[in-house]
Amino acid sequence: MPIATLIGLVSAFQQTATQEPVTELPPNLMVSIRETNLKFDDIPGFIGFKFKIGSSTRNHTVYIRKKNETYRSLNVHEMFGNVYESKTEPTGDQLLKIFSTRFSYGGLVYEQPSASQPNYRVRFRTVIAGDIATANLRKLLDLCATTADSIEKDLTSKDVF
Amino acid sequence: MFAPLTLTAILATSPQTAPADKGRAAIELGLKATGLNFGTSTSGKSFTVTFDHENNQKQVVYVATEGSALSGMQSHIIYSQCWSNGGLAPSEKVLKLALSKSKKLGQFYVYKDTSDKYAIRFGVHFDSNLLPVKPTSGEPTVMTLKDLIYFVDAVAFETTTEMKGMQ
Repeated sequence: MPIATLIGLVSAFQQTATQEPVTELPPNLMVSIRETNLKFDDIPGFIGFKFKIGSSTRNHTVYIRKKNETYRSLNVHEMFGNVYESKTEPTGDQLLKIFSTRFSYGGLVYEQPSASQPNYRVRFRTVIAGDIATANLRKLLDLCATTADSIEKDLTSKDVF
Repeated sequence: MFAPLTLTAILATSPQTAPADKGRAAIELGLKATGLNFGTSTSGKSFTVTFDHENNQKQVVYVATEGSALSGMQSHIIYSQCWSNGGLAPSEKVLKLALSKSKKLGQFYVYKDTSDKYAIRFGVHFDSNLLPVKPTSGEPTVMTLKDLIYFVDAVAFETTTEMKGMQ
């Protein structure tokens, strides 16, 4: 089965919609990240991991958003891989196709241009709890990388992210 | 069609047929521990939690009885319907409006059933393998399950209200 292999640091970074304030991840999540023994790039607002996809020549970068989201007892951080970014708006048919994809974990988010960024974007994402176990974190990073890459390949035939 | 890859989160099976995996007993015990009143859907494929809202409106949240085995997880989708138009495919306007509603967690998606009827749903996933063998109400993972259900209800009802009647 294909394995997402960490190949190095994030060389180019595309921020998502908002300019993220510099914050730190909770200490226990940073511990889990370090215990994965993966190289990562600590950049404003995000932690980035660049993976090689299986035995292919394709790569994909997965980000963990430093800013947490809360709701009642839920306290989570977004983990995502970008799959589309362009000033060209996806067609209705393209959106209907990819957003009809069924996922056993995670899903797609669509972002339109805003005051802070000019592009149409789609990303595959899930969320992780601040106390996620290291083994589970590693599995989800791999899963996010391979899933996002698969969608990017099918949607654009490119390997940008 | 997507090229088949093994270790991805994309369901390779028909969207109408979830893989028959374990997790039903665990998720049922978890739901009991939440204290929420729940039933079972007509199909038996989901547990259901019905929320009452203003003006006698109700929102039903579905928790898949069986999870998808994925990389050591037993992943159950928790979802609720936000929009439908008699089963017709969403217009581009409806689609873009729904999909642009970025939330703290979870995703909107398009669901098409075996009769080619469409709906827009909002959902999150929960790993029932995180539940203890005998879950109790104070257990953090039980609270997570409960609050995910509340969150899906809140988002889905808000969206249902906003998009009601849109074509």
